[in-house]
Amino acid sequence: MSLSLDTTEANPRISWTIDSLSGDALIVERLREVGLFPGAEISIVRRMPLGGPVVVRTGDVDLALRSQEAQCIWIQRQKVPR
Amino acid sequence: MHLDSATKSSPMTLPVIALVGPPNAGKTTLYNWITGAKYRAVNYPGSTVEYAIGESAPRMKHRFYLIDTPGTYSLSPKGEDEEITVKALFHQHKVGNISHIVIVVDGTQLNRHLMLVKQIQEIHLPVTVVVTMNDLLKKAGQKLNLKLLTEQLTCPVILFDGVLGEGLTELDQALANAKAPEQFAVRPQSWSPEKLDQAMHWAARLNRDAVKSVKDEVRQSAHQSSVANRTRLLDGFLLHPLLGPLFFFGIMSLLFTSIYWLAAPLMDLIDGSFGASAEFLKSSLPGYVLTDFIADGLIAGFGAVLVFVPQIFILFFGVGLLETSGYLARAATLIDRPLAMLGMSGRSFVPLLSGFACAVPAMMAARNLSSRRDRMITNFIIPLMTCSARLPVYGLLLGLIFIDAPAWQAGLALAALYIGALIVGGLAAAVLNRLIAADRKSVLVMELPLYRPPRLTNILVQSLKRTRDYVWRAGPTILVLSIGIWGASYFPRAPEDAAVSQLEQSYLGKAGQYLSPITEPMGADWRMGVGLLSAFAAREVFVSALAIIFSVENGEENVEGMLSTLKAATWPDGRPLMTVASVCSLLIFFMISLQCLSTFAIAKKESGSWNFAVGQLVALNLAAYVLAVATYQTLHFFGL
Repeated sequence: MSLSLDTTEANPRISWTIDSLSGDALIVERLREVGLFPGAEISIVRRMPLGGPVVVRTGDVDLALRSQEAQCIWIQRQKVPR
Repeated sequence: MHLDSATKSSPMTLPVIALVGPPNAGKTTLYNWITGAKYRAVNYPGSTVEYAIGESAPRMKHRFYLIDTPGTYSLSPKGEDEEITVKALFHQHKVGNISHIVIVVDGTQLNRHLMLVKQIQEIHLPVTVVVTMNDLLKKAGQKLNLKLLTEQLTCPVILFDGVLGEGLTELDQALANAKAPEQFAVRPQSWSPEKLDQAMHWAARLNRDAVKSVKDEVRQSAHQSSVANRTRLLDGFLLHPLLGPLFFFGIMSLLFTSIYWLAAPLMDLIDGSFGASAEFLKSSLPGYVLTDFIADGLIAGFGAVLVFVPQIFILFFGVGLLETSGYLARAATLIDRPLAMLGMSGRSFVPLLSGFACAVPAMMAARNLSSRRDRMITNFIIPLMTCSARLPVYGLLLGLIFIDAPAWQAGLALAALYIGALIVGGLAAAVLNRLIAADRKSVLVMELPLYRPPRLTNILVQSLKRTRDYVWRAGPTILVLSIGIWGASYFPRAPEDAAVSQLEQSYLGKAGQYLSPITEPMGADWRMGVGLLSAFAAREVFVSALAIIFSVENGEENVEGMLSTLKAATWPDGRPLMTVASVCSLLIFFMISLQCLSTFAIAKKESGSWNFAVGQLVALNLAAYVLAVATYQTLHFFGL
């Protein structure tokens, strides 16, 4: 079952795989270009206060996404934390 | 400078090379190494986004022009700055067409950055790939398989170390050996999602194969560089839900304090020395019109331009530190939400904050905003932030109401003025957010780069360049406008034995008198009107202008005298002029109005449009006037 990145709780120790991208074509294209494409491994590092951007990590890089962008990303649990 | 002469004498003799790469890949560092940090800022026609053109420095054997472009993730632009990059690749530049593209990619981010190489190769111009952050790879105990990369990318690949400059000779050699383009640049078609995904997977595979751990082949993927670890550790504090905002306000207070108080003695020094040289000239030269023009018009005008230099330099130095250390991106993320609701982004925070010191450097700092819409809204509301020039005016006006009251009451009123201005600014932003149509959906993905120690000499050079840009590009407008104001208050000359002051009988004074039917509804007589008009030179001039008109002895130095004279002033029918109602009305007016020609000049420069600058001038002053009238009439009705 895939979850929306926008509503998933942040926990840097949990790895997710991007399942699919959906929504505005321009946003989806940008997400692919920065490395958030279906199949990419990510973790949700933290959320900024007051409904601010969510910080996701892919490889060694941290990216901050607003809700508008996060809504387009659907993720699947990869492995359970030890 | 030398670039201009070179273009004129020998046009198109040097090849033109473009530097393209994703944000934070180290493009500007490479640019500085190649050109010796010499550049000329160029605006793409019809745009305010700048890119730099420079000539290769003597340390390079190969001679060429280098064009630095705003960072882009792909050739399919998502914002104005990326659009400029793409346009610049196909644009006929003054120095010639681009014949070679140097693509700068981050060695620790190859899986994300190599896709851009593939896209750019479809342009069919010769390319060279420069892999940066080699120092980070080394620290992480990793090594790049250059042979494999060169084979797979089918173009020269050069390793570059931005700290030591290693790799510059190899790049020089590769550029010297590069072939001339076989055909004109082709604008590639946009890629389908499938093609993009394929390219990203290809890049991820190539990254896996090309980056090998020297120490331990097996633990390669688990191996994280010390810089990455340091970044995680720092982010644990700086982006902590509770500590993060605390650090944010601490760091921003430090930045603000330095532009507000650190700059003050330098500004006083500039102000003082220009004032003293004007006085010296007037006392040593005969009292002709020309002497007055040089002293009060020209010298004072240069003073008006240069007085902003300390603030601009300090602000850009501070922003440079925050930007290159990696903190600015975090700060923007932290404060993004509230600003996003007003149509801006977290990046608008620093310009808005600077507006509390002065709108001129603040609008210049807004140049770093990549979205045109974001920049427009931010620049529009910057003059609503309570700048330091308003303080002398507030001091005088609050003194009139609270002269005998305990100090905390005046303090509270001052705080109310600051907060009131913020509320008006928020409302204005909200209105603009509705009015300005989004020309395209804004896509915001903010990369949080690794924390790195800032390189002070580079920041110093960049801040000096910014400051010089200001003097050359906005300076002339400010000079002309301030000489204009001087002329309006100087001509026509009053006769020697006249009973009225020169200011009263000048064009400016006359204008104030003609405008009295307009100023009276806000509780201001013609004398106040002249003061308001004079304030267009700079807001604090209001105080000295009132001192002249009300002929207060010792002028503005004499605060007691000013307060008692103003308190005693009456309308022709004997009613007191400065009532609670009229003072509040003036306070409201100063809180909102854009009474600063330097701000107007910089708004024109930064927006690149007279429409914006004039529209802002009219809108803010009209709003200030309407609210001032409403305030006066309401309070007056209640007998205050």
